[in-house]
Amino acid sequence: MFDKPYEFKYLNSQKAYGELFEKKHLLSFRSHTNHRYIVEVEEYPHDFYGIKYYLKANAQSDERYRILTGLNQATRVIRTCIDVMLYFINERNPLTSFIFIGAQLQSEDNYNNTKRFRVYSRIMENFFNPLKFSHFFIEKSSMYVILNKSKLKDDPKALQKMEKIAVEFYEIEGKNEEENPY
Amino acid sequence: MTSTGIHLQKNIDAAGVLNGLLMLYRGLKRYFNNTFVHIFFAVVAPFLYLFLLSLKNLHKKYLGEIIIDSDNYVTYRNLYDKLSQSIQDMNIDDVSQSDIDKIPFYLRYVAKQYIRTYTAILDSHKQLENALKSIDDDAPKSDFFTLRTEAELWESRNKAYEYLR
Repeated sequence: MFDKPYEFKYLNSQKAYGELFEKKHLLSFRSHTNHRYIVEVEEYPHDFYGIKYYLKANAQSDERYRILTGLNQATRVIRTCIDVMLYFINERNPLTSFIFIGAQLQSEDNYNNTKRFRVYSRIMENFFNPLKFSHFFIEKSSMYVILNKSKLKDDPKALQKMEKIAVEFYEIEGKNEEENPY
Repeated sequence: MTSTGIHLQKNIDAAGVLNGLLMLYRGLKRYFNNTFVHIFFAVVAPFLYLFLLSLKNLHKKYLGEIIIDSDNYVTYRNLYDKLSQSIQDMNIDDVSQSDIDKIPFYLRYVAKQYIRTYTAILDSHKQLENALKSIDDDAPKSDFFTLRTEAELWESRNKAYEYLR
């Protein structure tokens, strides 16, 4: 199901000002139906990266990350994003960890356990070995983290540092009453 | 396969043999009368004892520290699941330590050896379980993020996929 990625191209990177992330990397790929997609990889402090994608045709929309394209190529698009993640880990920064949010569908009215979060969680558990990555989540915010264990050797407090940034930015509350959905 | 892998596979095979022996014992008991079963087992007891002893010695030969890495993780995890299932399938009530005095004295040494072999399998299972649990040992604690443990991830994942990293 997730075995046919599209070939992607690294386009460029831009320094970010006034953002939580320090740099944004842009990549793109074309689907077999010739639709162009843009992948944005945001580079955060402490070797954390966030990944987002959208159909280029929706680039001007504020809802570009949430819109369902209806093109029935989600599995190949998602698999391509996984290849982008692997590219960052294997070729750009071996300490790379990823943090991302499963964006709401337009039919969802909050960020609690979104459909995208559920799908992405399944994908992460299928493809990223727990020997190399610790998996964390915040269900209420549909946030998922795969923490590179090589980074932990270098900086054991990396998660707490990233957590501090994410919690302040997204106004996340503690996990006191959160239940494990898995 | 590594010596640890062979050891674990031997454990699964041994658990299968132990389970088979128990089923044979129970089946014969149900089909024939007790006297026949006792005579039968009295005759085969020395061979059974030696066989069980060899199973246990096989464990000693391969037993060592279990080191799980990303290359052998899937193999060991699958072996752990199979071994857990084999142990779960075994019900050793009629040869358990508390009932050993009810077994005729000329069969007790076989029953005791059976329990020793069974215990050795349980020890290996526990050792592997601890090695798998230790994968989560280096995960940092967080007040906000909830850790998905190795066991949860394995339980939930689609085994048809291979890890990409």
